[in-house]
Amino acid sequence: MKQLAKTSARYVAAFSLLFALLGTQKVMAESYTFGVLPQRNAVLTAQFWNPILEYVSAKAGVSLSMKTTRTGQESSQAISRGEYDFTYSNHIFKAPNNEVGYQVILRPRSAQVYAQIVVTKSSPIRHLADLKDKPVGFPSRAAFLAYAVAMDELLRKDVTVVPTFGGNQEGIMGQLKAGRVMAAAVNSEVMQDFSKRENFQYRIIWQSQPFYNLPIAAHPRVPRQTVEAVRKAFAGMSGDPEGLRVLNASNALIQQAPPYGYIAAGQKEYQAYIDFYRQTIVKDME
Amino acid sequence: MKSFLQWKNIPFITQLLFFAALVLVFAGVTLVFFSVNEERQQIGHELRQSLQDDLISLPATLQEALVIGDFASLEKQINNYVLRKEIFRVVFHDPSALELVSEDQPVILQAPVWFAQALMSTEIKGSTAINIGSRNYGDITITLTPIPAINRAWNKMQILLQVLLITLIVNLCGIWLLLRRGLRPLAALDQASQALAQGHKETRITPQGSPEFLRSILAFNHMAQALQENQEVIVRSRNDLQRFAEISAHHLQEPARRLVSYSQRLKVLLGELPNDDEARLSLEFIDQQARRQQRLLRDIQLYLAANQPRGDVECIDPAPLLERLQNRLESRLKEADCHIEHGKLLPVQLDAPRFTDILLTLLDNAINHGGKRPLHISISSEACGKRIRYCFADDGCGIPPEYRERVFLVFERLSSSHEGTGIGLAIVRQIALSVGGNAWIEESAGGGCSVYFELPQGEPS
Repeated sequence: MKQLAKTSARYVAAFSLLFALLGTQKVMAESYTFGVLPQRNAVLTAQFWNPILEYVSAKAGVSLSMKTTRTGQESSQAISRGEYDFTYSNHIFKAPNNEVGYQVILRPRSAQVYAQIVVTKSSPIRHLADLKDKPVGFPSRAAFLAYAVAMDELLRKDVTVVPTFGGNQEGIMGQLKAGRVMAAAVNSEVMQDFSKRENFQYRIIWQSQPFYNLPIAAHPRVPRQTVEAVRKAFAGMSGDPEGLRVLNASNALIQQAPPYGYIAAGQKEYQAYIDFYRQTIVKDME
Repeated sequence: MKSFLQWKNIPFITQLLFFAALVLVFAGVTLVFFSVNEERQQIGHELRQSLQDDLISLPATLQEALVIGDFASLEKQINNYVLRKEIFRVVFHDPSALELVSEDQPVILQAPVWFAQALMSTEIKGSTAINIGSRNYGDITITLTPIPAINRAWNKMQILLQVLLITLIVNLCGIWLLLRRGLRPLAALDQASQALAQGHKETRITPQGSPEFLRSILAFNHMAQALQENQEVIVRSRNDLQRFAEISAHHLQEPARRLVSYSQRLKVLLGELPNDDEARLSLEFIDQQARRQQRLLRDIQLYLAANQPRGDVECIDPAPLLERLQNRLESRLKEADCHIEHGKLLPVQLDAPRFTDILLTLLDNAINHGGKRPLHISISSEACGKRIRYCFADDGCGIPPEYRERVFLVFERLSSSHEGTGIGLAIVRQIALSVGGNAWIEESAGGGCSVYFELPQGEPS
């Protein structure tokens, strides 16, 4: 009898271990999409994010697959459909996207960013009023800082401009550099990175209040455990030599200045976005 | 046919053209060989290089569509890419085992199969993974076909062969025209040489052609001039000598006739004298020598005249002439128990008096020197090229080999037992030589003597 009990116990332990392993395997095999707002061209976006997501996937025990679109508008539409499990975008705050329920889990360590309206350094334009009836470039109607905030200011200042859309942030910066537009509405951090990389000198004629840069948010459908694992992996990157190496390499691609990495955050850090969307007089945001 | 194909029998122009053609063909084949070799290496290198470039450029082209996940654009881009020359197939595999295959329309091989095989080019294939930011988005396999390159190489080869062919034709035509024109003086030289050989000593060639031919023509003209002058000197000397000999023979005939005449008269006068045998003998000797002198002078005259026709040169049928001679010599033939036989005798081109002299001399010699009784003389003839060779063969005692050439010299006699002058055979040879023939002696089958002589073939008018 004792012998039988011992044998049975061994079998139970073996099967338990097997199930535990299978369970782990099942958790590790879970794939999640990570949607990135197309502030830059898709390839550069992938070159920046794929190593980071590979690191986070390994640390969190999940498989994060980067997704992006050609334009901010397409990205906003994808968010409104809830296509992404995780997202790096500020379009989650505007209607009707805010009804999907994405929740902020992380924010970048970098300094807050601003909406700016910029001109070339040699441009004769000095004030917003000088832009009246002039062509001004915007990434897309879906851009928060580079369209909604900037256009809100222009409308409040009663400066009517001729909007020209470049598809994404760097697209419109390229048009400014080429002289096709008199001014461009930009994200200050993206503008700075572009300027360094392209050796382009510009002048800011208007700047908004500070906003935190784009958050990483999770869809409500993602299990809590997974959300926490991903948050922990992102937040721990800058403290881990391997994570820091990945961050340094990715940011070197876009010549972004440190600090690099992410901090755990919540909706409250992005109240400014929520309030803006509630009060803005811009009607044609996408 | 065999002799025509011998190199030395082929005309110079043909030799030169053949050699030039051979060299050009060899150069052409060598050029084609090296061209094909170079093309093979170049095609292989270009394909490999092209594949390497495509394996870099295509992934770069597809990156955006892959990152965005726009497979419709991806497929369109791949379909467009496969339309590039030399790309036959593009296959994309993504990590989820999705496969996109795009194939171009097969290119038709325009070159011959042997040419394609000579270039030994086959499809080449290469693959590369598309990694963006350390994530693998799939891999791409590109297959290149060498057929467009082979077709291009064949077009180039055709142009090369056409140029070679045109070069060959132009070159050969040029050489032929140049030689034909340049060698024209040679034809003039040839014609002039033949005219000179035929006796037209006044032949001269107008200086023409290249410096080499000019020199040859001037040399020819100098030679012809010298020949003509020498010939004139010789002819004058011969004419003078002939004239002197004829005149001498004629004038010497007179004393000989007088000697004979007066010796006859003395004979008659001494006939009345009794028993003076020595005087009678001396007189007989004088008479004989006088007659011999007459005969010698006559034969000398004949010998001197042997080079020139003594009548119309015509086609003579020997048979009637021989019959007349046989009739004329009938008594002598009967006395010598000599029998003549002959078959069909071929006609000759000569004047009748000289032909009669030949026949008469040979018959006379046979009768006088045959040495055997009965004596059979066989006369035959055969054609030898443009001449007729006659043979007078007897079954007599023959002539020893060491004398067979001597007997053709003037005044040479093998024995003095007969009344001959020793000039007969010399006359026969002189006549034969004067018309481009000859005369000689060989031994007959039965040990006798065979006299041969050649005369021009009779040309019936």
